Amino acid sequence: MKSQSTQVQHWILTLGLIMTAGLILMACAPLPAAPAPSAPQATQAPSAPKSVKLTVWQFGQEGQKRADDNVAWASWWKRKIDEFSSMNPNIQVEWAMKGQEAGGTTLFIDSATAAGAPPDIYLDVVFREAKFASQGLLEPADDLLPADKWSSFDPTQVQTVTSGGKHWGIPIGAAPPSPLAINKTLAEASGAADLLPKEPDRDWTTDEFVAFLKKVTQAPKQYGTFFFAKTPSFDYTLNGYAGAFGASLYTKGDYCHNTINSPEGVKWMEWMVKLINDGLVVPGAAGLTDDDLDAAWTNQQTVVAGGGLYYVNLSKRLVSDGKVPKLDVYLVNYPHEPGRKTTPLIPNAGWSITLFKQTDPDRKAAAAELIQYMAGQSFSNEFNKGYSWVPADNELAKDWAGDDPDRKFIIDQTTKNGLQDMGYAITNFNEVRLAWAETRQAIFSGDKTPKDALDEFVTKANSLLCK
Amino acid sequence: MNVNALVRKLYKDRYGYFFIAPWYLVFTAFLLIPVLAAIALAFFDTNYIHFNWVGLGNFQDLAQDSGFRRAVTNTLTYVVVVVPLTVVLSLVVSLLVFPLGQKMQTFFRGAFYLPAVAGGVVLSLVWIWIFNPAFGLLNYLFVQVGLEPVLWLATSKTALWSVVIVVLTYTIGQPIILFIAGLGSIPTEIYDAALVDGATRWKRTWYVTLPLLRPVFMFVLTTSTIGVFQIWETIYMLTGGGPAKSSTSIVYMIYETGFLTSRYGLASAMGVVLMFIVVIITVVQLRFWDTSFLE
Repeated sequence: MKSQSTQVQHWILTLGLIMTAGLILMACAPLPAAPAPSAPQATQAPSAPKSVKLTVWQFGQEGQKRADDNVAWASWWKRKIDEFSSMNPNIQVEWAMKGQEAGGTTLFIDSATAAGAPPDIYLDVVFREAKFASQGLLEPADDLLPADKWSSFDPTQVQTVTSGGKHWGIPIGAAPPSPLAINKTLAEASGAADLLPKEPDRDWTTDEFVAFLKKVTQAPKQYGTFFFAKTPSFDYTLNGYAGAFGASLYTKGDYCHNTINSPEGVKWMEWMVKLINDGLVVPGAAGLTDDDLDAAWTNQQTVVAGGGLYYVNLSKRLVSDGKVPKLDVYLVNYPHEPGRKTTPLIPNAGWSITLFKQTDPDRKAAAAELIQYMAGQSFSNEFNKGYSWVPADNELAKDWAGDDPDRKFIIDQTTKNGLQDMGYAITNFNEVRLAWAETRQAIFSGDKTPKDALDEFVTKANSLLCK
Repeated sequence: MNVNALVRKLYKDRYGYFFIAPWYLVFTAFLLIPVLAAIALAFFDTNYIHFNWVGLGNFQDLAQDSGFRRAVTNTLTYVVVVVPLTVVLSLVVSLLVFPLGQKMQTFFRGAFYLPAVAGGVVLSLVWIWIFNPAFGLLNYLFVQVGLEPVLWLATSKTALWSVVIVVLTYTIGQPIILFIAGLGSIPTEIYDAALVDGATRWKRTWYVTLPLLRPVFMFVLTTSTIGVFQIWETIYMLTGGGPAKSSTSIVYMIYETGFLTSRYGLASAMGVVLMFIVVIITVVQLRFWDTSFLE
C-alpha cells in the first residue's frame, strides 16, 4: 500500500506535468498566419458577403473624446457600427483606438503585423500609413470606391495617398492649415496691439514680427514665442517659418531630394538662432517639446505659437474651465522677408482609410462595404467634426468654415496663397523627420552651425529618400 | 558516467527536475529563445515583414556610424560616472544611517528607497520641471543666489550630466538597503576586539567594516554596472538622446533604430554589441575582485 506522502508526490507530479504541458502548448502555439501579399482583386466586390467579423483600428488613445461634443470616440463608433450592422447584418465590426501609447511610432501595427494579426481597416495619418503601403501590406484602394467618388475628393489629400499612380488609402480629412496663433490678450497687455498685422490679410514682414516679439517679451516671465526640438512632434509649425525666406524642404514635388540646405534654408535657420540668442524665445529650445509649448501657452508664458486653430480651441477650453480669465486668440500669417510675397500657410497631413491585405474574398468584400460606408458623406462629416478637421470630400469641405471667423481666415488665406509643401507624401517620412529633429536640436543648442547641420541633414535625408 | 548511470540518476532526481521544469520552460520560451532570435536578427536587414540576409553588414554599418560610436562613448561615461558614485554615495549614506536608532533608520531607508520604487519615468517627469530653463526650480534657485540660469537639457555640455543627476537619485536606493543589511550582519565582537586593540573609528571602518562588506560591494557593483548599461527611460524622458546625440546611450539608440525607424536588424546588432560589452566588463569585474566568498 502506498504511503500518503507517495500519493501526495504523485499528485504534485501530475500537477507539474499538467502545468508543464500547458506551458509547452502555450509556447509552441502557432501564430495566426500573416496575410500573404496578393494580387489586386477584381474591381467589383461581391454583394452578399457571408458572416464576417472585421477589425477596425483608429490611431489614438483609449478613452479619447471627440472635440465637438466631448463624447467618447468609442460611444460614437458604437452608434455608427450599429447603424452599419443594421444595413449589413452579416458583418460584425470590432473597433479599437490604438497607437498613441507607442509615442507616435507604428510599433503597435508593426507588432500586430509581425504576429500575423493586423487590423482589417486602419485609420491614421498618411505619413504613418505610407510605410505600410511601401511594404506592400495594403490593398490597392482604387477599386474600393467608384471613380466618381474619387473625383469628389480634395486633390491635395488624394496626392498624399498615391504612389506610382495608384491609391493605397482613401482620404477622409485633415486638420486645417495652420497659421500662427497670437495671445491677443497678452499682446494688448504688453502694449503691442498696434504692432499686430492688420486685416484683412494679417500679413507682416519678419522685421515687423521681430519688433512685435521684442515688445511683448518680458523675460523671464513672458517670451515672444516658443521653439522646440527635443521630439519630432508638431515640427511643421516651426517649418512654417521656412517659407518666410523662400526656403522649402522639397522642390517642385521632388520627394527624392531634400533641399533645405539652400541659401534660403540656411538664412531661415540663422534667423531662428538669432531669435533664440536675442532672448525672444523661451530659453532651452533644444530641450523642449510641443507639450512644453502647451504648458507655456496655458501659463501665459508665450505670446506666439504655431498651430493655429489648435490654440484657439485650447484657449476656449482654458477660459471655459476657469483656468484663465481671458484669452483671446488672433490668427495671423507667418511673417515673410521684406519684398517677398505672403508666406503660405502650412498644411497638416491628412488621414486616410486603409485596408490591409486580405486573402479571403468574402472578407475583402465585407471590408469594401464598410469602407464605402465610412467614405460616405454622413460618416465622413461626423468623423471630421470629431477632430474639427476639413473633410476630404470637397462638398463637405465647402461648409467647413461656416460663420466662424478663424476658419474663414484660414480658408481665405489658403485660397489666396496656397500651402507650403511639407513632404507628407514621402514614404519614409518618420525616419527623415527624426533626423530633422536632431538637426534642429543641434542648431538650437549651438552645437552646429545652421550651414553644417543642414548639409549633414540633407545628406542623411537623401540617403533615406526613395531608397 | 555511462548512459545507464545517467538515466538512473535522472530517474532518482526526477521530482527535482519536474519542480524546476516550469521555470526553465518559461525561461526558455520568454528569454532564451528571444535572445537567440535577437542575435539571429542581427544578421538580417528586416522590418519584421521582409527579411534580407546581410551577414555582418549591420555590424559594419555600426562601425561606421558616428552616432553609434557616440552612444557607446556616452554609455561608458554613464557607467564610469554613475556606478562609482552610486557605490560611494550609498555606502556613505549607509554608514551615516546605520548608527541611528531603529525608527530613524527605517525612515531613511524608506526615504532613499522611495525613488527606486517610483521609477525613472516618474522621477524624470519631476526633474523635467526642475530643469526647465525658464520656469524651473533649479534655475530659480540659481538666480536667487546670483548665478546664471543653466540650459540643463538643452546644451550638449550639460545634458549628459543632467541625466546622471537624475539616474543617481534612483540608483542609490537599493544599494543603501543592501549596505545597511550588510552592516547589520557584521558581528559586533569584531568591533569590540578592534576597540580593545585601540583602533580608531576610521580604522575600524577601513579594516573591519569595508572588508566585511565585500560581498555586498561585489553585488552592488555588478548589478549597478549592468543596470546603468541599460539606461533608457531617463534619456527618453529628459533629452531624447540629444542635443546632437550628446546624451544618447546604446539602449536608447536601439529604441530609436528599432521602434522609430523599424530597422530591427540593425537594432539587434546594437543589442549584440551591448551584450558583449556587458559580458566582458562583468567578467573583468569578477576576475579582479576576490570572489571566494561566493563559494
